[in-house]
Amino acid sequence: MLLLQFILIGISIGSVYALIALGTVLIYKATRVINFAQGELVMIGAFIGYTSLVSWGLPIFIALPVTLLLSGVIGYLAERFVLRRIAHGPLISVIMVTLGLSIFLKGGVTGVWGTSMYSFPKIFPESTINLLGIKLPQVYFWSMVVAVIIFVLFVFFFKYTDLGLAMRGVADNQKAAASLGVNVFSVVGLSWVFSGIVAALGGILLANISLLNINMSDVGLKAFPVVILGGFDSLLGAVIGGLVIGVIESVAGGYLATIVSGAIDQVVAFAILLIILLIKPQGLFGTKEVERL
Amino acid sequence: MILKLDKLSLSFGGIQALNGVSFEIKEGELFSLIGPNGAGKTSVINAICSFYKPTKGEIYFKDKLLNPLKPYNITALGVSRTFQNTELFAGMSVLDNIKLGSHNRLKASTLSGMFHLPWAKKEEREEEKYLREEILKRLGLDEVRNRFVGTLPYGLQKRVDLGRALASRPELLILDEPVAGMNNDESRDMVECLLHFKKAWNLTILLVEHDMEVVMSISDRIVVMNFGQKIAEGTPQEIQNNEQVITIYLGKQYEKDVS
Ligand SMILES: Nc1ncnc2c1ncn2[C@@H]1O[C@H](COP(=O)(O)OP(=O)(O)OP(=O)(O)O)[C@@H](O)[C@H]1O
Ligand SMILES: [Mg+2]
Repeated sequence: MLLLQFILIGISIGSVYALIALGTVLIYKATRVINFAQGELVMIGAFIGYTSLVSWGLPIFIALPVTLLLSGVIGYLAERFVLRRIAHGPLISVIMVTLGLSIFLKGGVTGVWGTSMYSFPKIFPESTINLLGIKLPQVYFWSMVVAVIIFVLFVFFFKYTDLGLAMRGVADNQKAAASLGVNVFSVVGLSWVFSGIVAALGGILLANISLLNINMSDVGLKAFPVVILGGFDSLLGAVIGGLVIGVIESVAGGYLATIVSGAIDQVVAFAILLIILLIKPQGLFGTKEVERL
Repeated sequence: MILKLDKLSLSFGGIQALNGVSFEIKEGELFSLIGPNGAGKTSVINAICSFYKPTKGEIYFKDKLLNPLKPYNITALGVSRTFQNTELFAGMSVLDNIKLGSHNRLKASTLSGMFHLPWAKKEEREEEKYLREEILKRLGLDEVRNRFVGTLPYGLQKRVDLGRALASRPELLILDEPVAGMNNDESRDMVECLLHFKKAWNLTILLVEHDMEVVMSISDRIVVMNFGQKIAEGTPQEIQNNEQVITIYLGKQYEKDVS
């Protein structure tokens, strides 16, 4: 019973990891850039959510769209005014730029919101929900639901819309896409918008699970084991990677933490990361080998 | 006059890839561009499609200056191209490759397409039917329409490349070595398809090709290039009898065929 509880909690947290990793994958697919600022997008999204709910006092059904919109705009601006300027530079420079972006964003957040702990207004009922005989706090349950909805939307978008087709085309071959009339810059910009939006959703969910503070951006580091496990260019990989990492972390934290002192759950994801890189460098579902740094 | 190049020059660092190239293509013509490796044929195509920015000279498509445009603006004008090293969407199905070719035709593309509003759906369905009937079946690709392009044999990939270029319903179709690497049968089929589309769709074609048998048998006019310069222009007959062309290109080509 205890194991099942750890697994369910792992799946919920893993759903949030998957959302965050999804943003990394979208950007990677469109541009082959590994975005080191993903965690900062998550944190900023959560802070914007906090501000619109608390400081502006908006009801959740207005605050949520406003937050997602603003987060999408931040993603867009990052691409338009930072990444695009160096888009055709050497890959390592582009990646360093995303690192710089992460520092810049973190500095901006410190300036506006400071470094103290915020308690995010609970947007889900604080009661528990009964799932497979386990009493699970509602926020965990809703995290899974949100993640599932987002993934279904993306699958639908990529499979059935013309714009989704164009995005897949850009991910596959930019030169060919451009020659067919696809505005590659718009598509790349759009993948940053999407990335900002899913990051913000992840941030709001995380802030509901624990507290909100500048260090939330560290979750961005969790996106790396997830995408390396799943493969940088696979949406499904992000989902499975997120769930696997979430569950292992939760189970390891639950059982091992009592035996091995210290925050074993923090380390487990990176232990898995190392093992996977040794065995299958392109990730479990990735198709191409990721460029070495 | 559908396409006009006026004293086009292009250089990469120290390399002068094109040097004052001028020619005009008439509507409905099958116009070929030939010359030895490195002559600048592909560079001409890339300049027309705005992938390369000419250092000097102008390119006009139906009196519209193409120089300032971006690559993705060119298709909408009615120009499409294939690539010498087939640049396909290898991880996508044949049908998706072709559909993306007609990308700029779907008016109801973004929002209504995203939410699948009825009229967008109808337009899309009609487009798909057209693509299948008029392009995929003609090119013998309908049976493999759901296969990933990357898994297809080379000959079929070349056809997908052609189909995708056709899907945008161009007026000017630019082909960079469409039969390269094909055996005789494949090559004959490909040429047959080309001629069918040219006639049925009233296409103007700019063809770059090393297969002289094909070039000489289907071209209306030919321009020969060498080291970035135009060295001759004329009908296939005139080109075959041009001493200079024979010396620097056709002679060699002939030896290659014999050996
Ligand atoms: N992107 C580029 N960067 C640098 N040099 C280039 C580039 N593209 C073409 N060139 C150079 O320009 C010249 C013309 O090349 P181009 O590809 O146009 O020749 P081509 O006539 O198409 O030859 P082939 O028959 O081999 O395809 C060559 O010297 C080539 O090395
Ligand atoms: Mg060439």
